[in-house]
Amino acid sequence: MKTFIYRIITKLKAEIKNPQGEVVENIVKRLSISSDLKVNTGKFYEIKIFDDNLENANKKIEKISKEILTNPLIETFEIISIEEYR
Amino acid sequence: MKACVINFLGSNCVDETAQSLLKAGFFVDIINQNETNLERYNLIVLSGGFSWGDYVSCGRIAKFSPVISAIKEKIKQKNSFILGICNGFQILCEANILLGALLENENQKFISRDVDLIFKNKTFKLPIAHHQGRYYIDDIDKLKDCDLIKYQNNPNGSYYDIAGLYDKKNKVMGLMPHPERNYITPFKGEDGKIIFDFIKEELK
Repeated sequence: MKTFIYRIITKLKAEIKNPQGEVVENIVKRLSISSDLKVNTGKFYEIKIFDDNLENANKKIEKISKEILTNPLIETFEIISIEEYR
Repeated sequence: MKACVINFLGSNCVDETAQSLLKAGFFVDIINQNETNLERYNLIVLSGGFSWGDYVSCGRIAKFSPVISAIKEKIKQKNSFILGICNGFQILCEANILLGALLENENQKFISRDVDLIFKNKTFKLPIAHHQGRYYIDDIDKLKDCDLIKYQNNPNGSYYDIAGLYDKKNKVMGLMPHPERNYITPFKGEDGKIIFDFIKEELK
């Protein structure tokens, strides 16, 4: 049995107004750090899958990401890294 | 007529919702999220609260409850009315029982105050208390079979001023305002009665 560690980011779709991002933008501007920026926010998940092969683990993580971590109407997900341990 | 209020783990408006239904003339049971037999109920209510602590997103985890599958089956029988209030509305949207989704309020604040609403040419006032009540739908035409409950002064950035919607075909209503709070509390008036009377009419 191997251990696969997935790191996943979920975020609102680009076309949906993201007030959290706007709050960060505004404070950055108010502190005169930068006047030209765009901030989007999201959530980070680290999930360990214990399985014999990567293909099976990938299928599981796709299902988890699509059905639990995101609502496809408003959110997207991105697997940013996969680590494999024996 | 018999109603049930679902007590999800984290629901916190169950008692006042049940009390409102009693006042409206329903026999009421309080059931939990694992119930799968809804045969005896005319009205099924998902009350407000923070089901599963709003983990991942409001209503996201609750949608996997056995009672949600039972509600989907019950809707097919076309002999009942489903009402989701606040977190209940969020759960119905997450479960794809109603269209759309609820996002964080535009001002990033928890909003707790009375709001003026309009539904079927009636104007009335109900309280809202939410942080994630900004209704979103990608195409308003998808709601052509729904009656809309609209804010008169949009408090949270909801698309098209939508505070709630009623899917006429399936008899499913979801709304962010709390009709139960303006029905059983004497000093708050009885505007919540408009929603409960509407439900009783639809069940006739």
